[in-house]
Order: sequence, then C-alpha cells, then structure tokens
Amino acid sequence: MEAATQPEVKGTPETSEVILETRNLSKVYRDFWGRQKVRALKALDLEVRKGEIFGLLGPNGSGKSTTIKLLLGLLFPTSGHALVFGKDATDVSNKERIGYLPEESYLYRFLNADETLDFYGRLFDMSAAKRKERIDELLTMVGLNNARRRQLREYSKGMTRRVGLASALINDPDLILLDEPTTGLDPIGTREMKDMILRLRDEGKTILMCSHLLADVQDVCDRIAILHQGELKELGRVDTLLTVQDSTQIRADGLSKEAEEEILAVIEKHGGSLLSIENPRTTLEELFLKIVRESEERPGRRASGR
Amino acid sequence: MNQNSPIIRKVVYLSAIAVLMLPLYWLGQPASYSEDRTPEGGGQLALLRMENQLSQAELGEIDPTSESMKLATLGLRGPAANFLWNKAMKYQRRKNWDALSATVQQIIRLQPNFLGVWEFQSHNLTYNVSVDFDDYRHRYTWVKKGIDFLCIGNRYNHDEPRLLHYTGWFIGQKIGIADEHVEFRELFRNDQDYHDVLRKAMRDFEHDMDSQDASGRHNRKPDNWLVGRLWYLQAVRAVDSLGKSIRKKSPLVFHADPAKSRMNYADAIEDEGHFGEVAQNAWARAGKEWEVYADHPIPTSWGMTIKLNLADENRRRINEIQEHLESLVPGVKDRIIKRRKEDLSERELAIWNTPEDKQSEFSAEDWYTRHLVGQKLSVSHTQLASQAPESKRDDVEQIVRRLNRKLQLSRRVRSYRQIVNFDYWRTRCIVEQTMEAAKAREHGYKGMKHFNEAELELAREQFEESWKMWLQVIARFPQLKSGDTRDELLKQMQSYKMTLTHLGEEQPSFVDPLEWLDSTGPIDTKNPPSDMILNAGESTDEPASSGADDDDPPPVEPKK
Amino acid sequence: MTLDFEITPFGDWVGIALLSFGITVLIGALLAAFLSYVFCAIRHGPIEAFYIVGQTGAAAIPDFIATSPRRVIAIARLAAKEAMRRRVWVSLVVFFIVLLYAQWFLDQGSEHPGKLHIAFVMTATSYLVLGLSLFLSTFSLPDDIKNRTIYTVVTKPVRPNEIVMGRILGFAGIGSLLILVMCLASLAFVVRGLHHTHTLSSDLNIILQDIETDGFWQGQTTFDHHHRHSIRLERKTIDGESVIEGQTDLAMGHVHTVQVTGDGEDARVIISGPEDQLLARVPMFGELSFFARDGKPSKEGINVGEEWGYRGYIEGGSLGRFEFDFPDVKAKDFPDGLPFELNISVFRTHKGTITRGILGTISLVNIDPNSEYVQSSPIHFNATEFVVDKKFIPRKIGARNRKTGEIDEIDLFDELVSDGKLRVVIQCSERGQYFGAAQRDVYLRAADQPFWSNFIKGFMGIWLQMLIVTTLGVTFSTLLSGPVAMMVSSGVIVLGLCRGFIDQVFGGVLDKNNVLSFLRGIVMREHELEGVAHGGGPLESIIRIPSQQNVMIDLDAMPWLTNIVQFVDIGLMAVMYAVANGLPNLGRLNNSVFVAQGFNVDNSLLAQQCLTTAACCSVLIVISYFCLKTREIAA
Repeated sequence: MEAATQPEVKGTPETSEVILETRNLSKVYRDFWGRQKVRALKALDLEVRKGEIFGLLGPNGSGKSTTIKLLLGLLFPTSGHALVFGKDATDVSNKERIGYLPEESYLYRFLNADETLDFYGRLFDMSAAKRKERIDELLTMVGLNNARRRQLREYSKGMTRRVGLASALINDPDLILLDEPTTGLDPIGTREMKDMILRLRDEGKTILMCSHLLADVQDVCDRIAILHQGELKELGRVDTLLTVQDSTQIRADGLSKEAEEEILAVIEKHGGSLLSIENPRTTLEELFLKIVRESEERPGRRASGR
Repeated sequence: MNQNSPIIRKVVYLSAIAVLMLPLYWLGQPASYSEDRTPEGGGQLALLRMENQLSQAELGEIDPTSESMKLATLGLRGPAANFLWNKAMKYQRRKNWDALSATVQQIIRLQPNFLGVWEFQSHNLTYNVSVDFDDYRHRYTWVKKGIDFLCIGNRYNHDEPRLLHYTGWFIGQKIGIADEHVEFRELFRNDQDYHDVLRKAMRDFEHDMDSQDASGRHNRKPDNWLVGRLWYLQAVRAVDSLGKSIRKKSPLVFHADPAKSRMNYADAIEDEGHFGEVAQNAWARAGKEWEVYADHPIPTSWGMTIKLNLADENRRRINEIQEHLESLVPGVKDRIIKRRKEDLSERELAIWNTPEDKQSEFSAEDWYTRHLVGQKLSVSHTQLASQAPESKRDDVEQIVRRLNRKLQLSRRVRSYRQIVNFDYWRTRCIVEQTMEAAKAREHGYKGMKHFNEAELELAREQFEESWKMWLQVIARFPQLKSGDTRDELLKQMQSYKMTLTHLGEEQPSFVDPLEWLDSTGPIDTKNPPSDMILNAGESTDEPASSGADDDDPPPVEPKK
Repeated sequence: MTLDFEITPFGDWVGIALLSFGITVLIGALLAAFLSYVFCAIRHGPIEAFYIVGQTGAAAIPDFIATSPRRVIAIARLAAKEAMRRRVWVSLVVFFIVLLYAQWFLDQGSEHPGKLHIAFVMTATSYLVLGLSLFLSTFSLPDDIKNRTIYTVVTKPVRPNEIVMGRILGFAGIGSLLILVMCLASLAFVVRGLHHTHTLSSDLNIILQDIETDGFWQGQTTFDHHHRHSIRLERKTIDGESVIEGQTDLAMGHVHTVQVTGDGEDARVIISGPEDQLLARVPMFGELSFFARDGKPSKEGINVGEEWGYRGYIEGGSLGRFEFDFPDVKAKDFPDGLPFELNISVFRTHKGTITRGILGTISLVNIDPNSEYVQSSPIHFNATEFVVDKKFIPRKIGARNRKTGEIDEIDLFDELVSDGKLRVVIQCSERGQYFGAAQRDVYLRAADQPFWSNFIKGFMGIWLQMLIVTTLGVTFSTLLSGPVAMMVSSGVIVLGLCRGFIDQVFGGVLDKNNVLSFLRGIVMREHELEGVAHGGGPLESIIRIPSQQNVMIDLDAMPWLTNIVQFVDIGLMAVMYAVANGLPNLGRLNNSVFVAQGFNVDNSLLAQQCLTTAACCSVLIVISYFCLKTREIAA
C-alpha cells in the first residue's frame, strides 16, 4: 500500500527488526445489540522497528489508546491484524517482553511499592532472588526507595506514576508501551520521564508512546504518527516532518543591507562565508493544528509518505 | 436565588425538621402509665398498640430474642413466618420432632401476637405430635410441650381469654380424657418439675398452683382437672373484669368449663376408686359451681344477655300471665279446641283420646299422627287474643305481647340449657351427692375390679349390690336414664352380663335394671313439658324484641 | 434418625460417576463449540469462524499446561489481601456474636439439645461462609475490570485460567481460614454448651445407708438444664475393688455416670458430664427386604397411611418380617458379640397395652439353608419408638440343631455367619400391631470415632460447598458485572438447593400437558420423587397468587391465556430444571445430618463429595477460562 511504505529515513536501519506491525487495523465499537457505535480506528498500517521511539499523536478520541489496547490484546480488532514481535497481539508469549505503562496508574492501592513490584515480578514467574534484585534496582531508579513500604493509596500522583513505570519495567522488556507517560507530572518529573525514555532507547529498547503533549513528543520521539478521528494523518521522522522542504534559510551576521544583496550575488558567484543555509522549521504544534484543520475540512485519509 | 440563599435554606431545613418532629412526636411518643400500671396515654402508635393489645407488656419484659428476630427479617416477618411454617410442616411429615419444636418456637417469636399460631401449634404439639410416639411417657412429654408453648403465649399476650382457656383445656381435657388418661393423670400428679413450671406461669393468678383449689384427692397433689379449672377461671376473669373478647368462642361453653372441670375431677377420682365423702364433696363443689355458672350472664347470638337460671323464674311468671290471660277470655280456648276437634277425622280423634297407659301400643305412624293433631289443636295466644271481646282487646293484646316475649326468652334459655345439657348436669351433681349413688358407684367399681381380676363370684356380688342402689337412684332421678350415666351403666351391664355368662347363669337375677336400660326411646316423649303444646305453631309468630315491660326480667348487661 | 439417601461404596461409585461425568462434559463441550461456531459464523463468516473456534480451543491446551504455580499463587495472595481489605473478619465477629446469643434461639426444652446445637452452628457457619464467598468471588473480578487494574495484570504473561484459579484459590483460602476458626469455635460452643452436671437429690449419708441396708439406692438427680435423671446406685466390684457406681437413665439424649468414692466422712459423689450425647457411631448397615403377612417378599412393606414413605411396615403376629442382610460381619470386628441398634417405629391399630411397647423378636438366620443351625432362638424385645434401642447379642447364643432338634449353645460366628454374611430377621409378635423400618433403622455399631473428627468432617461439607460457591461466583464474574454475577450465582445456588422442589414442579407442569407427559415420566423416575407439586410454574403462580386461586384446581383464566402461560412455564421450568440438575447437589454436600444424629460421616461419602466438587470446579474453571479469554477486557 502506498501510504504504508516506510520512507527512507536516515539513522533508522531499515534492516533492523520490525517489532510492532499493524496491518489494515480497524476497530469498531458496538453497543449491546451489536449496532455500530464508533469507528475508533480505520485501517491503520504502522511499523515500529527495534530501537525506535515512536510517538502516536492525536487529539482526544483519535484512536491512540485504542491502538495501544489492540497491540496489547486488551481489545480484539474488528478487522486487520496487530502483530507484536511478529506474532498476534493476543499471544501470551509476547507479554514476556512487553512493558506497559497505562494512561493512569491502575495499581492495587492496598499494596505498597514493594508488594506491587513483587506481585508483577511473580506474574513474570521470576525467582525470588531475581525479583528482589530487580525491585531494588527499579525503586532506586525511580527514586522511591524511601517510600517502598507505604501503601500506594498514600502516594502522590507523581509517585504512583513512577511506581507504574517501575512495574512496567520489572521484566526488563524489549518493547515498552507508554500511554500518556507525562500526564500529571510536574516539569521536573516530566523532564525525568523524558530522560528515562531516552535512556531506555539507548539501552536498545523499542518504545511506543502516545501523547497529546506535543512538546514531549517532539523532544523524544524519533518518528511519529498523527491520528485524527481514527485515521492516520501523518507518519514520519520528526525532523523530516518539521522541515519546510520548499524553502531555504540562511543565517549570517555583520552584514549591511547592501552587503546582503551583494553577498547574495557574491555567494552565487564566489561563495562567501555562509553561516547556514537550510529550510525553515515549523513547530510541531503548527503542523498538528494544520493537519487537524485540514482533516476536518476534507474528511478522508491523507497519510503523506514523507 | 439571592445571596442569602444558603442561610435561608438552612433555616428552611431546620424549621422543616422541627415541623416534621411534631407528627413524629404525635405518632411515636412512648406510652405512659398511671400509678396502678394501667396505660394512660402516649403517642398514636403507642395507643394503637395498646388498643390492639400488641404491646409487649412492661418495658422490662421485652423479649430480646423475639425483637432481634423481628428486626433481622427487615419487615418481612410475614414471609419469614410463612417459610418457617412450611419448614415446620415438612419436619412434622418427616417426624423430625426436635426440629419441628425448634421451628415452631421461631415462628412464634416472629409473630408473638398472632393468636392463631399459638392455638394451632400448641394443639399440633399436644394432640398430633404426641400421639405419634408409642411410649405414653413420650406422649406426656409432648402434651407438656404444647402446654408450655401456650404458657409462653400467655406471657406474650396478657389476659387473652382464648389462650388462657386453651391452656386450661389442654391441662384438663388432654391429660384427663386421652386414652392414656390414667397414666397421664398420674404423671401429672407427680411431675414436680412441671408443677414448678406451671407455678411460674400461674404466679399472677388469683388462685395459684399452691392454693387449695389446685390440689386433688391424691395426697393433696395438684390434679390436672383442678389446675385446668384455674386457667379457665383466669380466662373468665379476663372477660368479666377486663372486658376482653373471646372472639368466636361460644360464651356458653366458655363459662361452663370451670364448673365442668370440677365435675370431671369428681368423675375422675371415682374412676380411680375414691368414694364416700371425698367424692361427694367434690360433687357438691361442682354442683355449687354449676349454679354459679347458671347465674353468670351469657351473651347470646341475638344480642341479648341471659342467665341460664332465668328459666325457672320465668316459668313461674309465664304460668301466672297465662292464667291471667285465660281469666280475661274465659272459655274461649276450650271453645276453639272444641271447634277444631270437630274437624278431626275419626282416627285422629281416636288416637288423640287414647289414654296414656295404652299409648305404649302406638306405632311410629300413630305417634306422628298424634303429634300432628297436637299441632292442629294448639291455640296460640294471638288466636286467643283475637277472640277477646272488644272492650278488653287492648288489654289482652298487651298481655299477649308480653307473654310471647317471655315465651320466646324461655325458649331460648331452654335451648341454651340444652346445648350444655344443663339440667342433666345439675341433677347429676345432686344425685352423686346421695349416699345411694355413692354406694352404687363404689360397688360398681369393686365389681369391675373383681371382674377384671376374674373373681367372678365376688364381681357378681358387687355388681348386684350396685344395681340395687342404682335402682333406688333411678327411681328418684329418672333423668339419669339419658346421657353419660346411661353409657356408664350400659358398660357396667355388659360386664355384669359377661360375669353371669361365665358363671353359667343364663338369666340375670336382676332383671329390672336391664329392662329400663334396654327400653330405649327418649324419655321426653312420655312427659313432654306442658308448654310444648302451647308453643307449637307460634315460634315465628312474634318478632324477637325485648320490651320495657316492668315485669319482664331485665336483660342483663354484660359487666364492663 | 433418618438418613434419606444411599451411600454407595466409593469403588462402585467412581466408575459410573466418572463415566457419566465424561459423557456430560463431552456433550457440553460439543454443544459449546457448536454454539460458539454459530455465533462466530454470524460475525466473521463460516470459514473464518471455523478457524477462530479451532484456534481458541486449541490454544487452551498450552495455556493450561503452562500454568505457573507462582503466578497462580501471586494472584491468590492478591485476592486474599483484597478479601482482607474487604473486612471479611467482620463475618467472624458476626459469628461470635451469634454464638454468644445462640442460647436465646435454641429450643431450651428440646429432647435432643445436641442435635439442635450442632445443626445450629453448622447452619450459621454455612450461611455466613457461603454468603461471604459469594460476595467476595462475584465482586472481585468485575471491580478489577472496572478499575482497570486488570490491565496491568493481563498485559503480563498471565493466562486467563491463572487469573481465575488464583482468585478461587485466594478466596477459598480465606474461606477455609474462616471455616477453620468457626469450626473450632463451634466445637467449643457445642461441647461447652452441652456440658453440665447434676447433684444427687438425697443426702449422701442416706444414700450410703440405703446401700448398706438394701444393697442399692434408687433416686433422682437435681433438676438442672431443664431436666433431671433418675439413677440406681449399687455396690459393684470392679478389678477387685468395691465401688459404688451407677448410670443415670437417658434424658435429653444423654446419661451420666455416678460414682461414690471414699468411705464414711471422706465419701464423695462424682457425677460425670453428659455421656453418649456427642457421638460418631460407625454404623454397619444391612440390606433391608420386606415380607408380607403371607411370608412372600414385598417391595416396600405396608403403608400405614403416612405421607412420608420413608418407612415400610410389617404386620404383627403373621409371617410378615424385615430381613436385614449384613454382608460383612467378622468375628474379629465383634469379638464379644453383635452390638445392634434398632430404631423400629410402631403403628398400633388398637390400643393394646398402653404402658408397654409392642413386643417383637430378633433372630439371627444363616443364609445357607443347609447348615446345621439355621436360625438362633428368637430374642424378644419391646419396641421403643424414636429412641435408639441398643441390643447386644452375645456371641454364645441358643439355636436349634436341625438334625437333633435340640437347642444348643453355639457361637454365632461359627454356626450362623457364613462367609461374613448374616441375616437378621425382625418380626412383630402382636397381632394387629405393626412395625415400621427403613434401610437405616437397624445397624451394627461397629465402632465409635472421636466426635471432634466427625465434627470436622461435617465442616468439610461446608468447605466443599464454599469451594463450589466461590468457583461459581468467579465463573460468573468473568462474564457479568458484580451485582449481576452475584444475583445470577445466588439464583443458581438457590436452584441447586431447591432441586427436589423444582423437579416436582416441573413434573407437575409437564403433567398438565399431554404431549409432553412422557417427559414427566423421565423426570419423575430419574429422581424417584414422592409426588408432583401442584399449582404450576412461575408464570402460572404469578397469576394464581394475586387472584388467590387454589392450587388444587385448574387455572381459572381464558383458555388461550392458560395455554400460553403453561407453554411458557414449560420452557422456564426446563431451564430451571437443567440448571438445578447441572450443578452438583449442594444439599448433598451437607453432612450436618450425620454429625447431628451422631453418625460417623462415611469416608467413602466424603471421598465422593470431594471428587464431585473437584470435577465441578474444574469444569467451571474451564468455562471461565474461555469466558475470560474471549472477552475484550478493555471494552
């Protein structure tokens, strides 16, 4: 399919393993009587490769969470396929290698941090020694070592979030799915979270995150997909998407008005001290708003293959 | 809403609460009592409770079990009781007696003021369950359980005449009349533990377990008939002095039971071989109590209250008025009868004129004809009055009206007396006090004893002594030929005949008692009461009414 | 004592049970596969559906094989913690309060307080525990789904069966703990509650004097705990020592042993606590057959007009008799003789002698008619109704020699028991009177087990019920929301408990419909029911109740309405019948009747109950696995 062809992207080895793949993935929510209620996702085609940070972007209700749930097997596709590590998303064996941080931290509030992590560790069938080691490591990493014996119900939002992240990482996963990882975090927390994501990527993990906080996405994601009303609107490398292709930007200093004109000519003739020449960049916000506006004016699929 | 609204709202709420408190207070104020513990007043609910006698007596007596069970069913008492009832029935079918008893106890804690449950289940335990056991001691245990159950019922429902009466009935009749009454009575006499139970239940009675009235012939131990009587008396007291209703029970029977208990007691001790002064005293007491009963006002189904002994007094008054009436219209009655006789056929006339000593040859048809003729010839007072001369007409009619009213009353009293076999029992009490009757019974008892021990010669001797006495008794009191005495004597006669047969004597040497016992037929046909003829044909003549005539016996008001 | 059902030996039972279980499961599985195929085919088309159903079914096997105990235990621990968070201990508090005030609700004057006490504690325990497990099991999973905490679990490598099994294990663990505590508390309550003693009603000096002069003392104890005993004390010589001893009579289901120790000034009376009250007798039952007055076999004896056909009757003074065939009577089990216990019921057609019981005879008969001694001399007894009559038949017994015609004293094991088999014949001696007996009314008291162990076995029954209820609750909660799951499971449990009634009503409903009346035959035969309930099914009852119609007459409504109502009722009743009979009979897991009546809970029965429960739970687990597996958790 045209839209699905992966663009030639610099820095991402196209030879590297495909971790996540959706083929023509659609989800229709039905009511009790089986009548169609919402088309949450329409024929989504995506590929996420090993070592990427992939961002799913879109306004509320655009199908980001649905996509993640489909990839986790929490929902079953109406048509199409969601493949994780090359196997069907519902396959239990996938889960050994997945870490998932849900939108809010859905944790058992009557447990403390230790017990929580221990519980999830057991779910991965980890031995007691390994669990202990891993729990200590993770709690130190998320900075909750001092609060590990307190029940989660006493935690602040940021702390719960961090326990959530720790529990998502308990199995040292290869693929991490983050649903709105920075919501509810203060600026420092957000920064830490972003650093953590980048660090994880550096450790060779693949990350799929969805968010409507554009700045976060812009900061950490290698590639993004923009969804609106269940449709894929944009897909590509962040730097590519934000480059205005048909214009060039030159930066220089110490030039008078005449000189500028001259230099232009000179540059053409001689090649002066050119500081930079590049396309102007737009912001992600502008891009996002433009896509949404266009999408609302002309409904229909417009996934560009840039 | 303006800015003041929160304050206004609070004020409105507070005042609404205050206003709502008023009806709540009006409804729910607890009952208050005057010094003598009679309820004086209180909230509407308390009043309603008192009115329907649902209040659990005094505060200290509230039964936590019952209350907690009621609470636990969350207002679904009815269905819960229904469910338990079904369970109880199933247990009974499956002979799971312990569970039955336990379930019944639970039902009653749910519905302690539902009299029907007490009555039904106590009867069930006493009568139905007890006979399912083969050992009479077990039966007795279950009879007691039923009575115990009623005792609890009496605790929940103070002064409820029906329940009190029922208790008396079980203690008296179930123990005293059952097949095993000999054993039951003995068990009851000696059951000191149970006496304690009853003593507790009867502690508020005027005559309690320890009073003379409870103890019988046997070493002054409590006798079931006499104890039962005390319960009856308590029931009567609840009606007479507290004005409680006995609901659908017949007042006639209800008030008779204390006296009947005394008679039953007297009868029972004679059966057990106690004669002479003891038995005679017992009968004397019974007779006295029977007269008390006769003097007790009995509400009737036609709205009037009567006394059974009114009949005697009334009889005399009626005769006086009748004579007075006939003196006002002299010869009229004879004239009418004479005229009617002329219309009779020959056969009818012949039958009517048959002298009494020849009437024994009548066939059934003849008797019937005679009866019809009697009806034809009877002259009602109204008919008499219509023949009165013009000048006396008003006077006569007034007298006739009065007479008819009196006759009606007399008829009703008589029919009431017949229901309880009043005259028989009155006579019986008198008879049993005579030396002859006492001797007759004593000899009869000994005769039966010898007979049962196969000492036939001795038996015959005693029986014949007995018959001698009986002949004297019957001669004095021919009324005894009907009713219970007759049955008893027939039974004795049977044993006597068997004794003779075994002794090889074909013909009983005492023929007379056999004859009068064998000559069946109601005694009343030969000597019909004289007012019978007069009454015939006019029973529907006059509407029932109680006039304000001075010489009418005033209808007795039931005591409040 | 009435034990209304048969106990088949485990060995005989297990084969048939497994076979019928297998068949049921197979049919159920095929039906389920077919239905889900149809359902899928509507959604996805016939070929795709085939693939989906096959794959889902096939995936179950590795999922079950890969079940990890660690994961299951982790979830179980979580469930247990959750249960504790839901304050299950409150039920313990309630239980203790109930025990504290139990005396109020127990019939104080009962003839058998032991029975009532035991029945009471067991009922209280089962209500509390079953209610609680229902509540815990049905709300847990739906709450998890509602709070989405389940997301963090199912996104781990956890199989649906592990989630279900973990939960069942966790709740069952908590339930077991509660039952254990309640069991011990109940045991203490029963033993303590029934314990009492008396004192003698006479002065000890007088008693001693009487014994000196008459050789015995006859008297009564004091009146305590709603009863008193009578007693006869005698001087006996036991082990060469002379003691004054006696046993009271039976009152309220127990006796006391009284001993006088010491002499003169030091003499003291020791009265034991209640004995023979809390028992666990191990009965050995025989096979009962009835014989009519002419001596010919009769199927179930005479019915003397009782609604309850539990006992059959035989006529006295005729050839009518009961024969109990005991299969395995061994001398080593009964070295001294045969301790029989009889519970013969009596029906009198005439008063007879009121003051004594009806006379009967017991004879031991050799089943081999050619043996030297065919039958023992009859042993006479007086029937005591509703009281267990103990008859000890000594080993040496008189019997007539067939050849010589002499009555010899023989050893019954040598001469009358052949191959372990012994026939006991019971006859009623009085003309016109009847004896009644059921299978369980005559038995050999082979041994006694300690009461506490039997009590625990009784609570095992509650434990098994709790397991089934928990599993059922969890199963429904994989499909439904909490309150709905709770209602449905309690509905199903009620249906299971009212099984007999539903069969009866179903029989009654079918009875009204001629076309389907053949089905009625099946239903009624299947369950050997006593009769048919009147009044119709649910709809008909809804009409009858407000219009106050008698159940014995036909429904008074328009014919078309009647037809519709009855037609719908058949459908509804069929569903109820299927549900009620699909569940293991919860009522039959109730062992309290044995414990209360003082009989050892048969180990074979217990094994059957355990196996039935295990089978039921595994089926439910498989069902819930598929429910959870095919459910969109996040929908």
